[in-house]
Order: sequence, then structure tokens, then C-alpha cells
Amino acid sequence: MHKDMAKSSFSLRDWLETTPIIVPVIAVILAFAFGALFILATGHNPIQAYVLFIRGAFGNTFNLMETITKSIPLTIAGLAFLFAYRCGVFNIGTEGQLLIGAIAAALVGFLIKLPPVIHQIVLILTGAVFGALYAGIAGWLKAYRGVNEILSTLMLNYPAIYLTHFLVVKVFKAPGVVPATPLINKSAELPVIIPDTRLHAGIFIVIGLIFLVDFILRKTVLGYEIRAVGFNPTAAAYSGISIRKNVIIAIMISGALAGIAGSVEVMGLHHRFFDQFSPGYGFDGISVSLVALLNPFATFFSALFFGAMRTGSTEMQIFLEIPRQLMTLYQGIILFFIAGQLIFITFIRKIIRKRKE
Amino acid sequence: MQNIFSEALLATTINLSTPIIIAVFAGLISERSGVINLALEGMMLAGACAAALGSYFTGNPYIGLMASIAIGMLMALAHAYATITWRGDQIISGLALIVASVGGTGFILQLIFKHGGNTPDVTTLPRIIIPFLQNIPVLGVLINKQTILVYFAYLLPVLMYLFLYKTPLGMRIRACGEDPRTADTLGINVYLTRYVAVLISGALAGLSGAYLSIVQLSKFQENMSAGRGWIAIAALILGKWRPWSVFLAALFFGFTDAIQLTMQVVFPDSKLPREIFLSLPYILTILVLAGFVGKAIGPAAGGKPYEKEQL
Amino acid sequence: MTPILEMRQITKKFGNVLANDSISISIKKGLIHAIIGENGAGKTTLMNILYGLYNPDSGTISINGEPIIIKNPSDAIKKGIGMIHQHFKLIPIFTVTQNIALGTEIRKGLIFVNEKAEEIRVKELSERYGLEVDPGAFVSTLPVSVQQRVEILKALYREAEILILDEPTSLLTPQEIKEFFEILKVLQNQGKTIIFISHKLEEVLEISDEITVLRGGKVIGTLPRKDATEQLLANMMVGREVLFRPYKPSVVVGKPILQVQNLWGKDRFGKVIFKNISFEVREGEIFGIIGVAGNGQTELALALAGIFPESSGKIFLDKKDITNLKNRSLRNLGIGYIPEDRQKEGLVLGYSIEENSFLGQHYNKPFSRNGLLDSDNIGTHAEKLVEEYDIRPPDTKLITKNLSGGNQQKVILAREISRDTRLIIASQPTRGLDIGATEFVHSELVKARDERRGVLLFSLSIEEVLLICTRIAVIYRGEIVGILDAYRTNEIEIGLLMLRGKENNVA
Repeated sequence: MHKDMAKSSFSLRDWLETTPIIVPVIAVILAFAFGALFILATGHNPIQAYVLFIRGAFGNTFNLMETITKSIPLTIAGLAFLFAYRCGVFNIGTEGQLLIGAIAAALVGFLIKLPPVIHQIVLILTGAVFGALYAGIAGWLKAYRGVNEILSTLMLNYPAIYLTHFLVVKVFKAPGVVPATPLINKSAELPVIIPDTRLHAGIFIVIGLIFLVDFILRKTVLGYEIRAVGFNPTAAAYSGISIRKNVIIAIMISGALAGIAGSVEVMGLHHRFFDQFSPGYGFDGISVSLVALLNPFATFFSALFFGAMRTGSTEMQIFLEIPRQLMTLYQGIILFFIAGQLIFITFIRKIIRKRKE
Repeated sequence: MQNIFSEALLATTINLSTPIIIAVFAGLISERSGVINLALEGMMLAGACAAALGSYFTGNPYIGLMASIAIGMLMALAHAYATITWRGDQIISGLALIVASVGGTGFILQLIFKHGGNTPDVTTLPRIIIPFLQNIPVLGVLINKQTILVYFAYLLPVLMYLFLYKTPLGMRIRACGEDPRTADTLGINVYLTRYVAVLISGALAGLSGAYLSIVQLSKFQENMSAGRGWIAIAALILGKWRPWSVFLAALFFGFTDAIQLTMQVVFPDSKLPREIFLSLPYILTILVLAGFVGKAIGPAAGGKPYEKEQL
Repeated sequence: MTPILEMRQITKKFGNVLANDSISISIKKGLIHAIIGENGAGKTTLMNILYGLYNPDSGTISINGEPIIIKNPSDAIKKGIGMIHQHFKLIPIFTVTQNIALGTEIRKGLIFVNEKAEEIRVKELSERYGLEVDPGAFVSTLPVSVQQRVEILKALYREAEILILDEPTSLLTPQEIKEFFEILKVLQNQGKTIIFISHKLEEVLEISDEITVLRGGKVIGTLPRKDATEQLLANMMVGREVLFRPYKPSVVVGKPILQVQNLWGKDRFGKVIFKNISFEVREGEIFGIIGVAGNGQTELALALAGIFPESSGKIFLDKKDITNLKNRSLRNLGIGYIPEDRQKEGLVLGYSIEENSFLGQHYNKPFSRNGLLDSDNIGTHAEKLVEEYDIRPPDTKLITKNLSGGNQQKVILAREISRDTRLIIASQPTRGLDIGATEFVHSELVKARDERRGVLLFSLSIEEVLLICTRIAVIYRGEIVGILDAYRTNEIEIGLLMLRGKENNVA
């Protein structure tokens, strides 16, 4: 089963790499169209609801900044999944890696004192290192024990959740109602860059990471090998590329990115690790990445869209009492259509054929 | 280690393992036919919601049971359609259904009851008393006074074993999972067989969710499946896709879950954090996968869409 | 006597390959009828059509004079046709009985399978036809010869009257082959008709009553056993008109580049795949290795390319010991490799022409420096190759998945031949290519030869090796059974070596 689980993901990969943007766009349109039925069920006008949605996501400065702020961890988590998947590795442990990176950063943030810029760099690196090591467990298991990474990374999420929970609630708990670590030192924080909003300097890190990931994948020997392994491990092996080495490196970089996502959230938004701070950013990163068709730059826009779904849906809930969870449902529908890729290809082919007649 | 087999622990084990047992067989039957069903978590959640709503609106928990089966099968139908007919990616389809389920159940909950979190209390399944069992010490108390779902769960390994190994349909399901091309040349309709298996899987998965909302608790709470669908998948692998082993694995995970809940009673002096017990099922699964505890070889054609194309 | 089976003017095309060209064949009841031919002659295609796995483009099939339509295996089974494939279609985790009964299970009541009844039937058949099996054994535990009996029983269980056997002895030991022939005799005595696909002349002559020879998708002739000799059959199978050789022989053959000494290779189960392999490839020569598919040449090629280097023996490149070096090292030493499967092994289809053009050298200058790809050098290199090798469309950024087979192969050739290589190992480089592309590949290999490099060519086609090789080695059952001078030999000689492993010095 393990090898075959990997195989089904490979064909999706090829398709994702060579599919026009129109596909996720169609998926999104279909989701919103289909979802309009649900909105009608609440007794409201879908157009009215969607207008509110747009307002909540982009309507004013604060909302727009909120959307962008939410897109920060989503983008980085999306990059994390993307990087591994380019190598054919399905890392769905980004949630756990994110938490591990976050707690490590939070602890280093308050336990150690360092001058400002250095402190932030150290914290980001800490998040990266711990995320990479945790993901590396799954990487080692895959390369040396043939363990399918879908299962191992998934399984590893839970010990990470429980471990961080334990550390926060039982070991490093700061006084107060909400279980959380003590605040990190001011020098470690990522400052807010637009006053009266929550948008923090993490956005610059996001932009930097996007370019970095793109650079690694397209311009380096490592990226060349990683992508070759992802497309066709047999041909890669035949031309002297080490599958093992690249799989492990890919998953560790993936984990590092997830860890950075966690530490950036800690540094920029919360300034400490509080229990359950992640509403599933790691998991959402997977959807973000798939909708972005594995393109680093598109990941940002996809994350922005997912962020918008959070802020927009809150607005719909406040003013029309449409439950927020509707957006999660939409996400599911979008993903579902991406899974059923063939529907689009066949549909598009039919249209092309009809045009020829 | 006082009282490790105290009644409380055993009773809790039976309680906690039941939904996992039903879910693990949901996963089993689908995967044996060659279709990976990762959506167990989502089907469980949807089943829990449907059961609670069914019981709430009709006052009859059995309607709730049927609702949970129906929603499970509906989701399974979607999964089957995307992965069998359209040959889509089984893993992503499964994940998509989970996400849709989390969103959908939360949405319906909010919509109907105006406040999030949970439904009001609903009528639960009645407990059945089997008279002659009352006199057997220990076991008698445990087996007796359980709901129909518990009896069903503990009968499942037998039923599944008989179905998969002793009936024509069951054997064809397994054939489709091992070597669909051979099955095809013998005149077996691989697509149809897989559809049937996946639908049964959905029914069982929905049922496992029903246990959560109309037996374990008497209401539906948002996200109440809480990762149990994933534990069922872990149990499936730990049990190496065989009926009795997956049953034992599911039971074992229920046991570790129960220990963690009754720790004060069982290990009153222990300093071990309960988080270790919570993590146990997952770490154990990884060890099995890594071959430290035997090899995990699943159905040979699992995960691959079947293409009835010429060679 | 009406033949029990008649196939008339069966034609089947795959793409631009005409696998079956208006084949007509008539099988008499109760006979063992062999269909022989080389690889690619169309034998398996024809039988797959008979069994309903393929549908013919045109032609008819009749059984006992009655025309029938076979759309899928179920139809064939209903008409009494059973097929035992070369690669068994058995489910390892099922027992013998379960495999045999799958799809036609006997029921007990409404729900359960009556395995006892099935077992009884299996035992019955087993005794009647002398096919000893343990009905309760799991197929995964059975040796190949017993698995074959299970396959035959599967057909008999469904009341097959016509049994098609596709290369049935390919996986058997000589002793097992003897036993297998005895089984065939029993089946024949019980009135079954047997169609036997093979390329092994001696077996065919031993067991069959009638023989049909296919070549290039056509029927060359059908003859009764008593009229057949090895020489005649070989002639029919591989005989051709006078060969036109457009390539001049190489100028001077120089010193050895590759020396292989006593190479043995095993698979992961410890079974010997090739043995006693010794030969040399010299400067300025194209050395061909030809054999029927499955005689160890694929594994030998992989061993020499450093991909499956579990072999014992010695390999030398320009007198340097390179035994058991992996492919990365071999590439750096100047060995180019054109793999058998261009799409799975030779190219990353998702990559562009440009990206494929330096695959395998990507970590060296000039393509990269300090871990960074040098896009200028890569670009100019790719442009040069596209022009030199006339790759179409000439867009280096085009994803190779969209290229035709011929152009894909050109990319690989360009990459491997344009390099400064001493030796080029080419594994079936013209497989699936049309005439134009094939000619191109040949001329490139000859050009390399003329540049005083060495070419080691693995081929399945007698025509091809006679066309461009300097010397030809024939591999049979993992051993080299002859090394011939290409300009002094002919296809019959090569054919005989391929088909029976021996020269024709036995009457």
C-alpha cells in the first residue's frame, strides 16, 4: 500500500505542475456557486452575503490588514507543503512542525536575552531548526525504512500537539487565565508595521521566503535534483541523483519552513506561545498550496484568499448571522474539485472538441 | 499499579474503543477493495452530527442512527465518484471531505441552534439488558447494559471476517484490492465492486460517529471526533489490514485512551503526564510502520485508480 | 473436418505499428497447435484478441464454423476459450481453490461461499488431468510450475475446450518442462485443443502437431510437425531479402575500451540472471548484444551502466577497473547511457528540453558552479543540441512530455552522445520509433563509432544489429552463446543462436 499511496500522488503532481490557473479558479467559482445554496438555506441573499464577505476581507484598512496578517502563517505553511511535494513527499505534518518551531522560538524568546535584530534572527532559526529536525524523523523513516510519509508525518502531529500542550500548561506556564508561556522579550518581537492594525514585520519574512523557495527550486542544483526526484525518481536515479538524500533534505526544509511559520506567529502576533494558538494553519497550508498549484508566488495569493475567507466569513457572521464555518465547507469543496482533476480535463477537452466542430 | 483491571478501566475501555472499532472496519473494507479512505475523521464527524440531529428532531435515536448511516454513505458516494469514476487522487479527496465535513457540521450547528459549540441534549440510544448475563461476575456487568452499537462493534470482527473471507462479494472485494486486472479478466466489475465497498465503508464510518453523539455523550459538539478517525487509520495499519488484528489494535487504542482518563484511579502516585498516554497510539503506529514491530504490507493495489484500458 | 477455431483476416494496429496484418489461422480440434515467431511478430497480440483483451480492427472469429464476437474475456470464457498468460494472473493471498473459483463461486445458501464444494471440483479436475495441486495452499507459497497448473485448472474449471498458452515454459526448469509436456499430452487425450505460443524451436518441434509461423505481423506459413525442421522454421521466422547496408564498415578498429570478464549477476532472490559474460568493445566498433527478450540482457545492461551493480566478475574501462562502480562515477569516467525506457528511465518528462539536456551532468561545470545552475551555459548548450540534432519543435523550453517519441529519444541521444564519452551503452534505442527516427539513431551511433568511440548496443532486432554492428554477440538464457562478425554472418545463424542457443551443427 505504501508505494502505491505515493504513486497516486505523483500523477497529481505532474498535473498540478502543468495545469493552467483556470482550474483552481473554476473550483473556487463552483464552490461559491454551490455554497450559495447553503446561504439561501439560512434565509439570506447570497449576493448580499458575498458583498459583505468582500467588505470583511478587503473593505477597509483594518480588515485588509487582518486578511494579510492571517495570510502570513498560511503562506509559509503553504510553502512548507509545496517544497516537500515538489520532491514527491506528502508532508501533512506541517501542523506539528509548526507547533514545535513555535514553542522552541517562544522559549528561546523569553529565556534568553539578545540584542534586537540578532534575537529575531535567532528565533527564526530556532523555529527552522526544530521544525526541520522534527520533520527529519519522518524523512529518515521514509528513506531508510520505507515508511510512507503521509502516515508518519500525520502521526507525528499528535505527539507534537500533546508535547507542546504539556510544556505550556505544565512546565512553562505563565500566570494568568489562558495557558501560555511568558511573553518573549521585546527585542525578539516582530514590530507592527502599520499603526492601529496587527500587521507585523512577518510579512517581509514571507516575501523573502517566497523568493528564497523559488530561487532554491529553480536556480540551484539542489532544487533541480529535488524536482527531478519529484517528477520521476527512476530517471533521477538513473542519472546519478540520490533519491534518499534529496527526500530527506526536502522534508527537512519543509519542516523548517513550517517551524518558521510557527515562530513568526509567536514573534509577530502573540509574542508568546499560548495553547492552541493555531487554528490549523499547518493543515490549511496544504489546501493553500494545492490551490496555488504548487507555485511559490501563487501561494501568497492563495493564502490571501484563505485569509480573506476567514475575515470575510466573520463579517458575514456578524451582520447576517451566517455561520463562519461555511467557509471551511467551501475549502472542502474546492479541494474536492482539485482532487477530481479529471473532471476538468475531460470537461475542457469536451469544450475544445465542440469548438472544433 | 493497583487496580489496573478495575471495572472502571474496563468499562471505559469498552466505551472509548467502540467508535474506533467501528471506524477501523470502515477503513478496512474500503482499503481492501483498493480505495484509500482517509476521510474517516470527516465521516465520523458528519455521522455524529446527523445522529444528534435525527434524534433531536424526532426524539427517536434510531432515526439518528439511520441518519448517520445515510450521511456516511453520501460522503462515501462523493469519494467513490471522484476516485473511482473520475480516477482522482484518493488522498486529497479524503482530506477534502474532512475539511468539508468540519465546515459543514459547524455550519449546520450554528444555523439551527444559533449558538456554536454544541446541540442541546438529545435522546440517546437505550441500553439493552440481557437477563442471563447479569449473573456472570465482572464480564457480566460489562457486557450487559450496553447499547446496540457496542454489541455491533464487538460482533464486527466476526461479521467482517465472514464477509471478507467467506462470501463471494467479500472475496471479490479483496481481489479488487490485490490485483484488479486479474479480477477484471475473470469478469468481475472492478468499478462496481469498489463502489460497494466504499459505500459500506461510509455507512460504518457514519455509524461510528453516531456512537459519539448519541451514546458516549448525549449531544453533538463541534469537532467532537477529535482525531479518532486518524486513530482508526493508525489502528488499521497497526493491525495490518486483517479483521482480528485491526480489532485488537482498535481495542488497544481505546485502552490507552481509557488509561489516560482514569489515571488517577489506576496510577495514583504516578508522575507520568497523561500526554504520554495520549501520544502512545501514534508513536506505536510509527514503530510498526518502521518495521520495528513487524512489517506492514497492505492491499497490493491500494491507492491506485483502476483503468480499464488496453495494455 | 471443420476446424474448431478459425480466425480470418485479423488486423490490429497500435498507433502506427501494424501488429497483426490480415492474419488467418485455422486450428483443428484436439491438436496441439504452436504459433511461433520472434519478438514483436504479433503472436501475443493475436491471442489477446482471441481472448477478448483486445478488439481487432477487422477480421472474424468462428468456433465450430459459427462466427462469434468476443468483446471481453468473459465472452471468450463463455465460448470455451481459456488463456494462461506468460505472467500469471493469480492472487497471491488467495488459496489455489479460491483463485480457481474467483468470479464463479459456488454458493452455500444465499450468502456464503461453499468452499468444500469448490475444493471437491478442483480435486476432481486435478485428478482427471493429472495436475497435482494442494487445493488449500496459498498461491504465494507455490513454485512457478505449480502455479502454472493452477492457471490451467482455472481454465478447465470454466470448461475451456481451447487452451491458449503464452510462452508457458519461459519460467520453468528443464525438468519442469518435461512434466509440463506430459500434462499437455493428458489434456490432449481428454479432447482439449491447445494453442501454444513460443519462440523456442526445440520445444515446439517436440510437442506440437501443427505449427504456424508469424513474422512482422503476417502469417508466413502453417505446416504439420512432420514437415518441419529447425532450419526451415528458423528461415521462416527470420529470413529476409538481401540486406541493403547503407553504412560503410568502420575504418579501423582500435584497442579495447570496455573489457568485461566473467561477469555474473543475480537478482534479489539470489537467482542467477546472467553468467560467464566476457567480451570486449573496441574503439571504432559497434558491439551488439542480441537475444530474445527476457534472456538477461536487460539486467546485463543495467549492470554495465552501474545501476544494478550487484555482479561478480570484472569490468575495465581503458584498462581501469570499474567493477561495481555506481552510475554517477561511470558517467564521470566517460560512459554514456541510453536507457531502455526513454520515458521512465531516460527523461524527466515534466522537465523541458533544456532541463533534460544536462541531466546527469548537472552538478558539473559548465552547467553549475557552487551549487547554482548556470543558466547561460545551460541555455547555449541546449540550443546547440536542438539545432545539431534537429529536435522538433525547436523550442528548448518545451516540456518533453509533449514531444513525439522520436524527438524524446533525440534529446537523450543528444545528451549522451554529444558529451565527451568514450563508450556509449544503448539499450534498445529504436524501440517504438518510426523509420525516420530509427534511421537517425542509427546514423548517430555510426557517427560516434567513426569518431573512434565505442558503442555497446543492446537490441531485439536482428535486422538492426546486422545493419550497424561490427560484431554481434547472442545472449541466450543469460549466457553469451556466440560472438559473430556482422559482415560474415546472416540472420539465420543469429536466429538459431537466439532461439536455441546452439549453432546449427546438429542435423
